[in-house]
Amino acid sequence: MRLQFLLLLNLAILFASAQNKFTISGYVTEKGSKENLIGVYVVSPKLNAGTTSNTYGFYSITLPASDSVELIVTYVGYKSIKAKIKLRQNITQNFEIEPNNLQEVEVVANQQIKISDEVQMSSVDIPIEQIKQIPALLGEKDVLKVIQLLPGVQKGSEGSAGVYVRGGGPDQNLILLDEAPVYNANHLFGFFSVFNGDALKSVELIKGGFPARYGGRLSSVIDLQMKDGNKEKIHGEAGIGILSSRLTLEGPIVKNKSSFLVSGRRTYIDALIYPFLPKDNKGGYYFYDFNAKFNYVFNDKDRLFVSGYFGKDKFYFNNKFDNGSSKARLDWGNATSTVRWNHLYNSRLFSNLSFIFTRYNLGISSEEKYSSSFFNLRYNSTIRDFGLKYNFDFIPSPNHYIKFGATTTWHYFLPQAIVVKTDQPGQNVSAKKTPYNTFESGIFIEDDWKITNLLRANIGFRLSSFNSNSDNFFFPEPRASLRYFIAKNTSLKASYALMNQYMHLLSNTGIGLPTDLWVPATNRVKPQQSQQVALGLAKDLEKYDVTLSIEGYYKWMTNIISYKEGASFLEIESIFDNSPTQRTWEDNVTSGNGKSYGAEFFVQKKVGKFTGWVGYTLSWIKFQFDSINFGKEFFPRYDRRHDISVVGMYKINDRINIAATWVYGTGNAITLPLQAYSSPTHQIFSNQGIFENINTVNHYGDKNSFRMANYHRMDIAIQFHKQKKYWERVFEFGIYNVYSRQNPFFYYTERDPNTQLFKLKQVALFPILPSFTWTIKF
Amino acid sequence: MKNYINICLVLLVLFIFSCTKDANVKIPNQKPIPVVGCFFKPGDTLISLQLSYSQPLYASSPVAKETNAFVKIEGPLDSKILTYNQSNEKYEVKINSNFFQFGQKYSLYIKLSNGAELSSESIVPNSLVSIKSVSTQSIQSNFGFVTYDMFVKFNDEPSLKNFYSLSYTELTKDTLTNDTVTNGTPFFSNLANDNNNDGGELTIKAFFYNNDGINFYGYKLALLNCSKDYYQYSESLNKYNSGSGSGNPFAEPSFIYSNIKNGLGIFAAYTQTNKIYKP
Repeated sequence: MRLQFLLLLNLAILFASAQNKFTISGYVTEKGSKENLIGVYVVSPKLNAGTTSNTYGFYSITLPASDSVELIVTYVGYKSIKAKIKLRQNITQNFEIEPNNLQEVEVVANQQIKISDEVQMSSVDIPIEQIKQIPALLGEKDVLKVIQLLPGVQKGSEGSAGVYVRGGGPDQNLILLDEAPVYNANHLFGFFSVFNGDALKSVELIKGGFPARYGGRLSSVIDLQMKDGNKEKIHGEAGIGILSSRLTLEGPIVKNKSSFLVSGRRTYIDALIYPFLPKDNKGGYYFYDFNAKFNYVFNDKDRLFVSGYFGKDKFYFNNKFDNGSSKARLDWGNATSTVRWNHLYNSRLFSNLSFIFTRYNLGISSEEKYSSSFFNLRYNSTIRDFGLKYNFDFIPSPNHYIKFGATTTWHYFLPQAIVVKTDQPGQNVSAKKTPYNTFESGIFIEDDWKITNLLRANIGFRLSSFNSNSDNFFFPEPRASLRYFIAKNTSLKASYALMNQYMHLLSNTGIGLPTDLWVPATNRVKPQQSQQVALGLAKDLEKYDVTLSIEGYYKWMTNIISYKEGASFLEIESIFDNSPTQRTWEDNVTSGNGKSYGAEFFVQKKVGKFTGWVGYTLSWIKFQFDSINFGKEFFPRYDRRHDISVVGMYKINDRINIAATWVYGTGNAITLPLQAYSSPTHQIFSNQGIFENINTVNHYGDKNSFRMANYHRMDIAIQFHKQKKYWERVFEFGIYNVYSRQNPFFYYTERDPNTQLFKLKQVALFPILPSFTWTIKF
Repeated sequence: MKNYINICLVLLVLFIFSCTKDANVKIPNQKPIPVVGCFFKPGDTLISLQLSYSQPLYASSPVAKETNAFVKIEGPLDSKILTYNQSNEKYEVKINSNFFQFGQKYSLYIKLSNGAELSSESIVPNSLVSIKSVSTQSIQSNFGFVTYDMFVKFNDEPSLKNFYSLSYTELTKDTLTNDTVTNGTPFFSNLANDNNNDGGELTIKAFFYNNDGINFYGYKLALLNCSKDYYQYSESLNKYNSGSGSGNPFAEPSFIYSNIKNGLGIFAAYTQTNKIYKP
């Protein structure tokens, strides 16, 4: 009650202080497409007041009444504009800004948005156009692999799109596509992510200092927004690569009011190799994904967005025998859908209501037919969400940007279901573990508060709850970020965030296989929780258009889970066992604690002919589980002491640009058998204590005490652009792993037949791999 | 187009047949490690201790034998020096049946011929534990066959941290002598402790198939009240045998417990109660 009173009092003061002021509000869009732009800086330099556009391009700035207020609208990669506005009443003013295709640096009165000015720390946004220039495996541009190049983020293994942020596992990342969580962001066992860069407008990674509007995961938020679609003219992009082809179309439905976007891609190796396979043994693999979005501007106050994603991976094998045939399938995929309604209550209060659906499904099937018998097996695992979210942006003055809202999600978990049908009715099985129906809810409020010219803060609070069949959890989650200028363009930053995660991913590979199972927190397997503090220094070197940040962080994690020693995902549950004492997934996992700490250095150049960044991370991750490694601390597999990424892009002229990346990382920590010995035992049923050595066991040392070889690799790409009469053609040639470094993917042991000694063998996946893609834009 | 298909096929082959080579990394701990095994209980009249070495997996190392070690076991009242027995390659000493006593701590000290020292200790549990009842329950599997759960009940000794192990083996009847014969190695150790049920009735569940062979007689059960070291060692061995030791490449590695300082293996005390059970 006291808190409510204080909040109301604060709001009343804010309203009162705004009486002699008026508000300029509107949307910032891209000239030529009317695409809403996110994070555009709208600033009044003389009044030292500014704001940024939100996810939907909306901005609002309240300033003292004046006959001439100068506003500057500026955004990286776009030409800045100045506007003089008579401010004697609340005004709606939309801005259109033009892309700066020459990538020239344009600084208008030093009003480019600065890293030293932002309160949010541990956050990076990468322009999609840069992502499209960075070389990629087989030419497949991949947002998640670019994110892996940022400090504080590690990849799981060679080629994997798995993202490990500040000591967290891949399940601890909240990956949002137009607000819908994506539960498995991988194609082809993690070698590619499900996100098609052609359909994306923006991507932002937050590693710490999480604003209160985000919740439900411990380690990171990866917020991806799809393009809205060009509202002025039909535009398209088509590309052919080694692995896949893709096509994107966008355009107006009703000019300047409504637009659409459809984008799809599919691999075709299965079709290419099909004619070369034996007639009776056909098999293959493909993936496809499809994005679509529609939006409609009803009026100045109401807008509707409908977007969706659907993707699938499928392995299949068909065999024919003399007296029968067999078919096997492994398929998995995500589907998401978001319906959003923007409503402007007044020039300072913006709202968004979202209805969100997401589903991830894994299916395995096998069919065998013989002349007089058959055997069919179907295995299924699903997680499905329906969510409702209502968020508000309230901008009472340039000194406050308040966000508040509420969200609730119905999660449906079906970890495992299996159906067996045979010609013998007595052997038919339909075993379906009880699904979990759970509700996750949260309310939040946060204020981006300019306390003084030097001090700015984002103070937030979130209340989250989780209700399943019989278990209820309820946690407060305070959040705070501070920025303090210690000199011009140099600021100190600090943040604290407490996060809860009410679902777990059962995975003993850690590389994001589709067989990983999502399960809810239960009374036995509690919700995961983390607390993170971070301290940093941010500096803008305006002369060079370079930003520099140094951050140190410490994160504690509790109730993180792991498979017990000896457990395997192949027998996670005794699904055929109907006894009351049957084993469940809860019996196979154990909970423990983790801590992660380190420092990150990041130098980035976003504009100019030469762009790119250098990132270095020094970090430690340690886990402790009572029932693993005899309770002693150990390094998880993805503990990486040193991690370096160098990314450079250079635009030689309008027709040619080149890009290169180099990465280095300490090898993964794994467990390796080191010695073998006969395990002592004794003959219990004899009268004397006489031993009998019944089996030979391996001695591993401590868990994950062995380091794989260090990882390093260089990739390059060159793009040739040519403007034709009706379209632009882009040809890209890239080389992955330029110096063909054989980075270990995994190790195994093999006994030498001559010496009888074991040899440690390493398997490297990708040697030097050239690639090319051909793209047209029209 | 044909060239394009060929390029794709070459790339696919590269992708599938990735490069395998000897790993060029330094592998730690490639010197043999001494391994000790010694189990004892009240009533024993012989202490027998196995001392051997582990075999490094990646380095050439002759199988080392340790025949000149100094081995001593010390109890509250007496200590014994064990000597090497060539015939069975173990260190042994005969003792009085009251050398090992309930509730007492026993220490092991070994000095190897290379001067290295090993040590350990274990406490004999306070008492024998008696089996209250044994029952079975049939389990109908989805695939049509029947298995059985066996429930062995006993009372926990209160106010102490207790650990238990149940072993059982099949008994058959010798058709010539009509004697019951223990049939081979005991089944898996089934373990229990008194966490959350101190002083209460405990149950160990075991599992068996129905044996209807003509010579089948029943099961011989051995309920062990064991030291914590014995329990942890057995638990880790069970996990190993059902997990990474079973050849399942997807199983998490299991680590074998050891209470031998500067070595591997186990030095552990227990008490034992036997019972014949005919289902």
